[in-house]
Amino acid sequence: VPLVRSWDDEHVLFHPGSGDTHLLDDDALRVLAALRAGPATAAQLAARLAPDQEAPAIAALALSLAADLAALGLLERDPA
Amino acid sequence: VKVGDLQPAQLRARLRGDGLLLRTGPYAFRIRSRLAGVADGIARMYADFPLLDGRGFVDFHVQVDSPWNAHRLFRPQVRFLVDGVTPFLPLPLAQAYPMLEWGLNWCVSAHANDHLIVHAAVIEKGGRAAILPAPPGSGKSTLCAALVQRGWRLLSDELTMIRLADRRVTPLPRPVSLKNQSIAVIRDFEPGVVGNRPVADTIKGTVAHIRPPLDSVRRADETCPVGWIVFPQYEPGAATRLSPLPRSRGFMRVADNAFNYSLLGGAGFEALADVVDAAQCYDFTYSQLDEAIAAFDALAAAEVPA
Repeated sequence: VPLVRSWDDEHVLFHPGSGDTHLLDDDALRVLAALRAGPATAAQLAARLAPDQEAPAIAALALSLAADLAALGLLERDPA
Repeated sequence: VKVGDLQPAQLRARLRGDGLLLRTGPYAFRIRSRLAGVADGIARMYADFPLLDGRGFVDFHVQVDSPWNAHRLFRPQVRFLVDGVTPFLPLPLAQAYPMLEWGLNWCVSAHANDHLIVHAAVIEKGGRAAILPAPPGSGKSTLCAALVQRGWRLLSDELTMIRLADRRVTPLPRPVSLKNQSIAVIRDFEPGVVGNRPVADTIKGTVAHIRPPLDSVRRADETCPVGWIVFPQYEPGAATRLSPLPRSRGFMRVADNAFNYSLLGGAGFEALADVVDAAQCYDFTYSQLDEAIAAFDALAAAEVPA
C-alpha cells in the first residue's frame, strides 16, 4: 500500500514496492484512488471519476493519466 | 577539560599514542595520527570541545596516516582508516586535515540510520532549526558560516540529522568547511573568525575550515524541531529574495539531498513528511550576506504559525 501525504493541491506518494517517491497532482491521485476499487476500462474509470459528466472527454483524460502512472510503475495496464 | 587546554606536545602525544577522544553530537571518535597537519588542525578547530577520558564507549576508531608505499618518497600521501578499513583512495599529504573532516562526515553519514541524514547545513534560532539543503556552488556553507557568526547556532554545516524517533534535529557541530572564494568572503565578513590554513588543489578546490562557535559546541546535546527549509542560491548582484515554495516541492528536493532516504524506505518518507508538514519552505536568492542575515532574522522573529 503506497504512503501518501498531501499539501494544498499536490501530493507526494511513496511506493514501497519500488522505493520510489512521486510528486502527483490532484487528478493523478484521483485516478489512483478510483482504481483502488479494482480494475476498470477507460469508460468505467471515467464513470468512477466523474459520474455526472460527459464520459468520452473524461475517459480520454483518465486514460492518458493512467498511462503516465503506469509508466511510473504505479498502475498496471492489462494488455488485453 | 577541553582540547584547547592541552599543550601542543600533549595533543601530539595523544594523537600518536592511544588517540584523542572527541565527542561531536551523539558520536565519540578516537582519532589517531602522527601527522603534524592533523594535530595543528585539531588544535585550531576543536579547541572548545570537551576532552573525553579513555573509559567511555567509542563509536568510531579513526586513523589518518601516511602509508608506507612507493609514493612515500616522491609524492607522500595520506589515508583515512575507520575501524581498520579505508573507505577512500589516498590523497596528497597536504590534504590530511580536510581528509580527516571528510572521513568523520563519512562515518556519520554511512552509519547513523536512526536518523534521516540530509546533505544540508542546519542552524537554529529561537528554538527552531532552518535546514539549508543545496548543491555545491549554491553558497550554502558561506551563508551558514555568516549566520553562525551573527547569533544563529550551528547544528551542522554539512549533515542535517533528523532523528526518526521524534523528528527533531540532532546537532553535530563541527568545523564549517569553506571553498574557494568563500574563504576570503568570510574573512572579510568577520575578521575575528578562527580558520585554518587553506589547502589548495583538493577535489573541491581550495578548502579551509573555520572553528565552530563556542555556544554551538556547548549546546551540542540540545536537539530542536525544524521551523524552516530554505533552499539558498547565491547569485552575484541579485537582490535578496525569499519566496514561499509549495511543501510538496520542498519535500521532493530534500529527499533528493538525503543520504539514506531510500535505505530507510517508508520510515524515511513519514519522518520527512512530518518535518515538511511542520516547516515553512522557501527559495532564497542572495548576494549580500548582511541582507541575507536580516532576512533570516526576520523569519526567526516571526510568530510560530498555528
